[in-house]
Amino acid sequence: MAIAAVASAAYQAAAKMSSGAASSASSTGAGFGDFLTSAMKDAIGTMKSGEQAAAQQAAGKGDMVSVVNAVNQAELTLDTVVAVRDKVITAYQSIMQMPI
Amino acid sequence: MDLNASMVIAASGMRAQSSRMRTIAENIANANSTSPTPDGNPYRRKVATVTSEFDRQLGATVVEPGKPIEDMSEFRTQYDPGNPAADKQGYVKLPNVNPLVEVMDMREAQRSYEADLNVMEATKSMLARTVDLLKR
Repeated sequence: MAIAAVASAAYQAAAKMSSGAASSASSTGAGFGDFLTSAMKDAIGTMKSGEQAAAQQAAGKGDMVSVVNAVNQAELTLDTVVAVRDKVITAYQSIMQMPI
Repeated sequence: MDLNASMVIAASGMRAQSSRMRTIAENIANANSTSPTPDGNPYRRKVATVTSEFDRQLGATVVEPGKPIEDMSEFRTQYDPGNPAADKQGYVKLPNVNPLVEVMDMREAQRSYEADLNVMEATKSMLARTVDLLKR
């Protein structure tokens, strides 16, 4: 009973969110490009912090563990962004190849 | 994100074990360091401490290397009248370092470090496999 109520509420919230997102996307023009830009900025930021940590380690400051952590973080963020980009581009291509 | 936090926590553990290892290295290296003067004290053994600290930004409890404290136990003495550090009776004070204890401490630090490494490795593979799910 409780689970059903929660599930229906979640479903309604999701439906509202998707319709809201669609309308805002069509009205403001904020779309995939903006998403990619912000994701890339994020990825580049983490890469920069990784590079900084590595440079500090090379200069004799900072420790190995921080370098490993920062570079790991950067690698993971980039991986995620690339995976999402590939996914969306595949979707775009399959829409473009749709026979009309 | 929880997995990122666990990476940071494991890293803090590794940092703490590194500082502990440094103290142990000091103890082992100074196991025979006597005082240069007859009435001085030799090297005093240090005990590494680690404390847990709540990281507000991370929202998790991380490990912090504490300040090493001095071991106040008795110094060893050895009869060696020719030594410049010997007192009037000919006894030399030697550091209160027991190499066997230090080696055991070292092993413990090593194992703790390896455990943290394993946590990092497992976390990384969990994250990587989740991202892999996106790729296909």
